[in-house]
Amino acid sequence: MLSVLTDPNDFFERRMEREERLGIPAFIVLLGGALGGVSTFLIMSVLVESLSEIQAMSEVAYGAFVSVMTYGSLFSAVIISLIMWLVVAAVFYGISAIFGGKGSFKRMLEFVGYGCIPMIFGGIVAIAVTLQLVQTLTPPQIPAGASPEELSQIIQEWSIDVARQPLSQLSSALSIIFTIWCANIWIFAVKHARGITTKNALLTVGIPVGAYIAYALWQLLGVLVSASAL
Amino acid sequence: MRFGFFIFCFVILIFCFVILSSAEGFSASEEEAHLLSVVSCEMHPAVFMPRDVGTITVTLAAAGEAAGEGGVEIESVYLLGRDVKVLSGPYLNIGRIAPGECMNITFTVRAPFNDGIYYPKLLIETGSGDVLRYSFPFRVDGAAVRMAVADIPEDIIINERTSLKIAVGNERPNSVRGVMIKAEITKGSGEVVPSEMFIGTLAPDDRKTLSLNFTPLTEGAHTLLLTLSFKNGMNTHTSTLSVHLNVSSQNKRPDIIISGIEYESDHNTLRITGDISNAGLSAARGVVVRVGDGEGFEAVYPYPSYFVGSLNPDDFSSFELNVRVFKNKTTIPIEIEFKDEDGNTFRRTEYVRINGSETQKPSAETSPILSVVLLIAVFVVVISIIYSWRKR
Repeated sequence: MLSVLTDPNDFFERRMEREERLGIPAFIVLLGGALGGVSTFLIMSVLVESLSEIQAMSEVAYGAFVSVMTYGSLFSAVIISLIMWLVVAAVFYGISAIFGGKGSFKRMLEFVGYGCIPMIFGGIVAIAVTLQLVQTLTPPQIPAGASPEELSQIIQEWSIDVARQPLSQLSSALSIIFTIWCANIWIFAVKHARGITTKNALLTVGIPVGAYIAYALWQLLGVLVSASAL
Repeated sequence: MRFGFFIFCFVILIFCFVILSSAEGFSASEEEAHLLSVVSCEMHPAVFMPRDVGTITVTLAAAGEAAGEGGVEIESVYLLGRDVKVLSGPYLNIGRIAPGECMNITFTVRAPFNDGIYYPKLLIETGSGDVLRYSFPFRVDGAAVRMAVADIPEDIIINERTSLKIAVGNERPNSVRGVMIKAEITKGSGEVVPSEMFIGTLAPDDRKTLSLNFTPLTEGAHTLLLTLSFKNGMNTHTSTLSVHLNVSSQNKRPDIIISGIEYESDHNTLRITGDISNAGLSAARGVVVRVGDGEGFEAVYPYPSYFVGSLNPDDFSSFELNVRVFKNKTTIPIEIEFKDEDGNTFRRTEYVRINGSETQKPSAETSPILSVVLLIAVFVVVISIIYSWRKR
């Protein structure tokens, strides 16, 4: 299966001969999402430390809040990855239709899922980077009597501060790089799943992924500029 | 001849009669005078200064049952001062003093020029023509209330408040009242606070020390003129004291500087550390380092300010401050507050650059590691992509 990383063209060509199955692709997507969620979980763990002093929150409520914030972040990351899987497959399906693409959405979904394997590696690297990041982070200073609005503002500011950290920027950069890797695989996935030329598959994948990478780079550059101002 | 001798004998007889009559009257007056006594003789002020004007109050009393039921009739009372000038006239037809009762008679007098003890004489004539003579001591003492410099700092610095201590002592044998001191600069320029000091009454040999603050505005020789006024009875006396003060620009006060500033950035909170030293020639007290006022940042716990305490000359200490910085802030003002030995408070503001070459960012130390990780990731992905396309 790892041949999808080195020779995706051959991998998908052979997969076309098999029946459409979503089990393994779904597992890949879920695993990638879960690994990404672990990074979020680690950062949220730092955040919830500072919330224990809030007067308005009882011990039981705090425990529930911690559970929601940490495990919720993990769960939501998995759900979001599944949604994104569907969205990406749908976008590719739609654009490839313009180029006369034929083939089922299920096949598209299956191949896009295989194309998410780099996200697993990316997730593992992101966890390693995040583990180093959380050691340098200190919880935000939240006044005991902070109102929900103030709490929201403090967490928002703290999140921006976290994003300014070099390790966070590295994580974002790695995310872009691994997305490019995925995109490379998705080109061959679309080519075979939709039966279009390599050029059309390049356009099908390149347009939405290029737009996403441009957006991610713009955000990363914005964070870099604001961090250098500090 | 016989007629002449007769005339001569007649004259002698008349003379003897007159003499005997006078002798009989005199002895009678001495007896009357014994019924009258001078109980007290009070002077106000108790001790006069030369040329002082004051009062002498004489208290007369009739001597009990011996004076009979009618008491003693006082015809007149004179005060003969000689050197002590009596300003008020004699008392005439005063009246009768009942047995066992007293009568006060007051004279206004002016003391002579010279110090000494004088003996004015009191003549009291009774209704029966008896005369009582009474002399009493009248003391004149020219000793005054004096001022002296109790303490003046060795160095007086321009524009710096200096505390001066003035001692006031009463050398007189009697109390004086209304003691007041006025201070003014007669040479040079400066401020004296307070410019007037009221002491009040000073008992004999009493001493009080006053403090006044002198802030010179110019350099060089200054003269502080102290004018002391007091009242001895109703007489106001003044004396002056010129205090010469040399004002220099030499600064011996504490000179606090900060150095070795470093900071660590923890997301948007800075931990600023550094050394604070006293480069002056005197000790600094109550040294506090705090984040100054401004926008775009705020001091946060645990160290919004840092109390250093006392810093002796050539001494130093470390400090730490925590600042929450918002975006686009490149300098942080650090305010240093300290007091000198006299309690004068000084403040100084230093600016710390947080985006310049003098500052350090420990997080930057991780940059090589980040670069390596990034390069490896890029390398792996690029190789993988290239390989996948070549396989095609």
